[in-house]
Formats: sequence, structure tokens, C-alpha cells
Amino acid sequence: MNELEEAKLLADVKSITDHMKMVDQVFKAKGLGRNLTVAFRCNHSGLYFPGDYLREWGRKFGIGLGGVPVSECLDTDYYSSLPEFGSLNGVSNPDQIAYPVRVSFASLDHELIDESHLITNGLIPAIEDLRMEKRMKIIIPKQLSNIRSNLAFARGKSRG
Amino acid sequence: MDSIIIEDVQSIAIGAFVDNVIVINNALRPLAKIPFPCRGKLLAVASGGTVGSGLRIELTHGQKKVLASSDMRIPTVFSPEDPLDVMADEWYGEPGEMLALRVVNNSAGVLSIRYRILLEPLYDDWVSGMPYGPLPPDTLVQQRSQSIASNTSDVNVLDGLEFEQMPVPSLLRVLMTSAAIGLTRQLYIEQQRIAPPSAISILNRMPIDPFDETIRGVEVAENDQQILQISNSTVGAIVVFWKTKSKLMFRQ
Repeated sequence: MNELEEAKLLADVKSITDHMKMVDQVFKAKGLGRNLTVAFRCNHSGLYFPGDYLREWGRKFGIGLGGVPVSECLDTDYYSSLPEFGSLNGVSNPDQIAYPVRVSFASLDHELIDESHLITNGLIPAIEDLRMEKRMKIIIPKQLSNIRSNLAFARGKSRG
Repeated sequence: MDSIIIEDVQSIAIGAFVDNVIVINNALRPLAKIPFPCRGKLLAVASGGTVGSGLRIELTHGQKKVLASSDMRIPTVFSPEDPLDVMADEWYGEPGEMLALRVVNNSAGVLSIRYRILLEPLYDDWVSGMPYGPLPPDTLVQQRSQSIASNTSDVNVLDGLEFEQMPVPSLLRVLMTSAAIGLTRQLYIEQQRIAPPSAISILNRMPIDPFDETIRGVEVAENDQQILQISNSTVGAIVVFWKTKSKLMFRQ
């Protein structure tokens, strides 16, 4: 780069920085970058955890799952048998029967997504649902409709 | 004489209280009755649920409880690993005693338990009816996870639990981990402070013996109160995982 080229480059940079306000205005008018947020995508469910998932690991998320952050999303295990109806198993109501769930331990991807996308596609953190009531309201209908599932039959059979 | 290994995985229904998970599997039912004098070991893992919800287990042989209502580790690979998932490893069963592994699911989801019980014979040439010497005393275990609120001190996490006081003199070991940094623990026996406030490991999982040992060799007299106090100096709640192992000095 000779002196002339160097001077031209400096002039171009100065011209851009002088017009940064204009650049901001154009970005704003186009809506670029607005309402974007960082989130962690669970590779098991495709849904999102908030952007502080790693920073708050062990405090708000992943309690009891070890030192390495993974997805705490629950997964249904269709390969295990359903609990049978009867006093030996402590099952007196068919609604107690379902396929067992387990922590998926899936990997996570860091993504920049729209805030509204995080709200509509966010996972329920375990700390907000310790007894799994909210999550089972989502999981049970999925278990009932899955083609591998015998849950509807088992619950119906238990009702006699 | 060969060891007996009882291993099984069972789904525990929502809100179920199972008196003995071993006999749910009919094939294992005959093994629930101890056939020879033995040293026993229990390993167990759960598929999910922490901090006071999920699966809790307790183990008795005959009328002797060796594991009080305890939480389990949630592993990445759903299988108990030795020594990571050893819950109770020093108890001595007598012939004819019934093994009962009680499981409670206090969550709204079905969860799985995978357990392994090893019964190792104490005598190679023992046959049924033959007399046998006095067996060594058991080591009683309890293991829990619980949340400590911000800027507070839980004066005694053992309060009201079965092994808060021992019926005979015992040697106490305490193993602890926490989910995040900011907790300290101290131990009192009656009014005597045994262990001053100290930080604990932040491995965010159930304690593993011996890696997470924080207090050992504490002599506890008969019916003395054990006070395990945990303080949280941070602005957020933190979960602590603790395990106590009390080696009895005399067989009950």
C-alpha cells in the first residue's frame, strides 16, 4: 500500500464513521437487530433456554446434573414398560400410569433469535416446575398420540 | 459359594409408593430373601427429579434399616456405576431376612429407578442351618438434596430425619457437594462444634464416596444429636447435596 492508497483508505474510514448515525438510522428503519436475544437451543427438542443458561448453571438450571452444562429437557422413554396397575406397584388410579421420563442430557447451541421466538418456543426450566406438573401437561398428550405408545390402551384397560 | 446380584430397572408411577420394588419383578422375588450370611451393597440411580421431588428410596434387611429415605444421582448413562452410585455398602444380612427396597415417587411424572444389590457371602462353606458367628455392625446412610435460601442458614439439615440420632455409639462421616459456589457447612454434636464453617465442593451432583468427603471420623455417642448446619451467603438460593454415613459400633 502506497501513501496515496493509505490516504484514500483513511478518508473512506473517516467518511463511514462520520455517517454512523445514518447507518444506525437505516438499520433501525429496516428493523435489523431489533428484539434479538441470545438463547441456547436444545438439540433434543429444538426448543430454547434463555441466554443466561450457562452462566446460571447450577443456580437456576441443571441442578444435580453435574458440572458440564447440557440440556435439562425431559425425554420420554418408550422402550421401558409402563407401570402396571395394582397395589404392588402403588398404582390405584389409571392416571398415575405413563411412560417414564428422563433428563435428555442433549447438547446446546448458542443462537441469536427473536425475543418472541424465545417466548413461544421456550422450555420450562426444572426449577420453575419441581414436581414436573407443568411439563407433564405437555408430555402426556404427546405420549398418548405417539405411534409407539400403548398409554391410551393401558389407561383404558386399567379403568376396566 | 457365589455372590447374588439383583439388578433391575422399574418405572415408578406418578405419586406411587412401592413397598418393595424387588418383588415387582417376579423373577427376582425369590432373591429378596437373603439365603446366607452376607455383606450387602446397594447401588441405584434415578432418571430425573431433584430438590425434594422425584424418587426417594430406603432399604431394610429384616427389621434393620440401612438406608433412610434418600435421593439418587441422575446419571448421563442410565446405569449405576461402582463406586459412583453406591448408596449403602457396608451392611450385613442374615439368612432368612427379607430385603425391602422401598421407592416413593413424589413427582407428577413417571420416573425410572435402576438398582443393583450385591450380596457377598461371608463364609465359603456355609450351608443352611449351620451356626455362624456374630456379624459386624451396619453402616447407616442417608442422602438428600435440598435448597438453601439466599442469605440464610439451615440450622440443621438432619432435623427430624431418622438418623439424626443413633441408638448406639457410631462413627460419622459426612460427604457434601453443592450446585454452585457460596455455601459453607459446620457440624455440631450436641453443643460441641466439631467442624468449623468450611466451603464445600461445587460439583453439582450427589456426593460420591470417597471423593466428596468433607468430615470424617466423628465419634457420636448414643442418642447424641448430630447438627449439620449449612449457610448461604449469596443472594440466590443454592442446592446442597449431602450424605451421612454412620458406622455403628455395636450390632443392633
